[in-house]
Amino acid sequence: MEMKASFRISAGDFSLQAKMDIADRRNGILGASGCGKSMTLKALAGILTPDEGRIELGDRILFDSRAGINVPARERGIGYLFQNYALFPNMNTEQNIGAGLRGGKREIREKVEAIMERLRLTELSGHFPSQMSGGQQQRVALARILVRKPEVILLDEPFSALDAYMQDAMQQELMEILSEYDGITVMVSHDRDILYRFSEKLFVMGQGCFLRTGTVKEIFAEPVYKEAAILTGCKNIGRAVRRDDHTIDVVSWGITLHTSYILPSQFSYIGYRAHDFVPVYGGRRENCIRLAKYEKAELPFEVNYYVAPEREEWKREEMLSWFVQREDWPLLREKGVPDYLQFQEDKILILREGL
Amino acid sequence: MRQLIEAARTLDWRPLWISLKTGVLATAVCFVLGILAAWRVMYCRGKHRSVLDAVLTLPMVLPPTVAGFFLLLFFSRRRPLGIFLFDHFGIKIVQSQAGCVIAASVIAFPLMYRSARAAFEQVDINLLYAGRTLGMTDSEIFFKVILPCARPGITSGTVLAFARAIGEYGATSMLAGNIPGKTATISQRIAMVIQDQDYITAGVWVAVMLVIALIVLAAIGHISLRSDAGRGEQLWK
Amino acid sequence: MKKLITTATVFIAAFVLLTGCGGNSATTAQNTESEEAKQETVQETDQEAVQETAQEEPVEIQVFIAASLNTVMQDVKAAYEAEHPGVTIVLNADSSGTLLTQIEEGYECDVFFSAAQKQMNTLQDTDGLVVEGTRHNVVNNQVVVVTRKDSGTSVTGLADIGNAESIALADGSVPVGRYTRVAMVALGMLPETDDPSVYTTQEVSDALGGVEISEQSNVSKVLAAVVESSCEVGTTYYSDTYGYEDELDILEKVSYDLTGNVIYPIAQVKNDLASDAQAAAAADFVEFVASDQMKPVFEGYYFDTNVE
Repeated sequence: MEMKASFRISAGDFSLQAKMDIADRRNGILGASGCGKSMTLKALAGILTPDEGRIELGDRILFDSRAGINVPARERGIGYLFQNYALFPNMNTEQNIGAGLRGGKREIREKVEAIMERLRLTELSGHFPSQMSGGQQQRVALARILVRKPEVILLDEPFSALDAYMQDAMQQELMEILSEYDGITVMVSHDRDILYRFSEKLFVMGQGCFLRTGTVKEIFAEPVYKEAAILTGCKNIGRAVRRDDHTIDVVSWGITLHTSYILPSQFSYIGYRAHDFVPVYGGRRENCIRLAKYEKAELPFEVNYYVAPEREEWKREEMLSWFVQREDWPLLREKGVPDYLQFQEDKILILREGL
Repeated sequence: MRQLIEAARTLDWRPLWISLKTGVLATAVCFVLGILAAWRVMYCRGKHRSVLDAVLTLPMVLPPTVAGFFLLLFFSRRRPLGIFLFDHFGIKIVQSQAGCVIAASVIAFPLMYRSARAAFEQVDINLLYAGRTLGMTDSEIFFKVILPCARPGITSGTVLAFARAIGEYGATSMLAGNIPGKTATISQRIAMVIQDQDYITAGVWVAVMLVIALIVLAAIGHISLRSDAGRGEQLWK
Repeated sequence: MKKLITTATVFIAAFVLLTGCGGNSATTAQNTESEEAKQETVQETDQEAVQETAQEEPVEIQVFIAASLNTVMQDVKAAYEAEHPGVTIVLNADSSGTLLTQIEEGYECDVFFSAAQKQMNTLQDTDGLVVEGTRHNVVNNQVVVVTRKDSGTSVTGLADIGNAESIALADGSVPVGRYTRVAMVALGMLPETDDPSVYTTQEVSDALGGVEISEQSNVSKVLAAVVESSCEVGTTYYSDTYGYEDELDILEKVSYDLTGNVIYPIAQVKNDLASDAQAAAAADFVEFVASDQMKPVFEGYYFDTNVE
């Protein structure tokens, strides 16, 4: 089962240009707030109508502006999990789950009871949304969707309404519930950890456009675009100039990097993840930055260093981040703060501007 | 006190039936039309919406006598609509009880309409979207979800409409006339007897109005208490 | 579009139902009654139709009266119904202007008893709805300046009414309001003009030196305002002070020379829905009201029956 979508929506100043070919089971859309992720989902579900374009699911055409086709949301067979779950407040769990079902009373009751059993909601069947926790509500919302056996399930920032410590448990649960579901799922989030965990294929969005598509690992390893790098959590982004096939002048940080491999011809930024630095004691080596001026922040499981660039004048935003995990603390305690931080050439991210 | 009771016993009770009938029927009309209008206007866009809003709220802003005047012209037996109705169906709206109800409905309508609108706007729009993705038709969503969720606002709108309709004077007297036994409502009766300095009779009628008001308020309060948001008893299905 | 049709359908269904409901109640069915009456009279011979003034068949006549006539007309109605048991008089009392509009817009009306010539003139000349030869002047009414007995006002009459703290004055479209303005013009308090009724309350107030004037939409409201001390003084009719002898002082009975005659005319109105019996009864009632027999009744309520 494949879903293909290519459409444009304009709303006021904002314009969304979407292009997605979905063939995997678990898909994620990663993007900053306001980039149009939810809008994309709503267009796929039929809640919003694009200005022009085409959406296909399998061999069905759901939307085609040129042919004048626009299948209404209720006939698309696409489930949608809203950020706030959108449970009907005047109905209890059992009624909520059965709300969209058609057929005889007995038939409906059987289906509802079955799904409640599967999602451990049977004791809550008479409860109303206001009487349930966020996690329970999410299960009800999922049950309501799954009971209709949709071909696609769209999840709109499913964990943002939960407390941080609940998120982990909920993610586990969601994965478990969906493991039995063999349709397409698309999850939208600004949280890369959630998507890293959940998605097989990742779509990265910039403002109103789709930048990069690939497996999760691919994208994290090679974001290609500056915006994608930031979204995947790269903390250090510097403006860079290509001096020759093997040399990069990183202007923002006041250093020069050398690579053994040939550099791509077009790029304007360098990215480097905060966890990838190697501490160096003693003299300067290749691809190092001096750890002269820095700030330190201690977190429960991490120590963060913010290092000043090697330039006369620099701004606070241009400081580099070095995150030291617990494993490396003994080293620091023993030897103190290193003199230099070294860049590993295979971890250097060569980036372009996406927009 | 004794005078009041004496007056009550010899009273011509016809205005009571006229007022009750007018009030109840007008409220029923406003209930249906007000909710319908509110629902439809909610999903209009931009300029259309504010124009419609203004038109539908107009009777509330006009002095009732002016509104009554427009209604009189509209239904006049000497003008197209009135002529059409009379010649083809034998229906005369002016000078009739139907006129009372129509006038009261028009005046009370904005109250119901605005209350319903406000109530609907409070309802999370995601509920509508969710319903659609779950395969429900828009009217199913309306009756099973939106309306029950909007109950408090709609209830208060109904109360307001009833109060306004049963107390209506200016527009009803223009459109339906002040004919004892036919279109003379309690309000008109009170105005008449006060002019004749008969404060006793006026007092009786005022007491009657208060009793009606209290009964209605209690009844409506009871209905809405019986089903608050948590219980979700559905009004329509 | 769908919305419009749905709404329109519901609306039409609602009022078809309602007008059906209206027909059930005992006191409506004007149409059916006149239909029956028509059929009966068609079968009757001419001579009978001329003779009978609705002694045998029960007949209802619609009599529209100015609000200030409501009390006195209860007595007149009772007297007539006592003499003519088959006739029921249905009164519709309101301001003369409203009544005129209602008649023009198709209200069924058999007799119009107005508080001023103006409305009757319009009905006769512009609308052509007055039955020839049935117009009579019934009573004259005098404009009076009144105040509550304990108000302590310094006002002595219309000429110095500007000294009051506040005045209750009907607006120009109400007859008593117009007559007051006419008198003020005659006294030189307001500038000369063809139709003094167009003077707004604000203009009158300015002419009187900015005194506070509370505009009332009919004569009963003027009276109420003064009785309840909302306003210190007011101008109303002598007939309206009936029953308030204990509360009100009459500061001045404004002369007819200043206001002109405040004639209340009556006439039979052409009613295309009326049966012959109904029309006959209406004509008879008009004569009855204008007769000498009724003069004492009117005088008892402070109306002046000296009209010509």
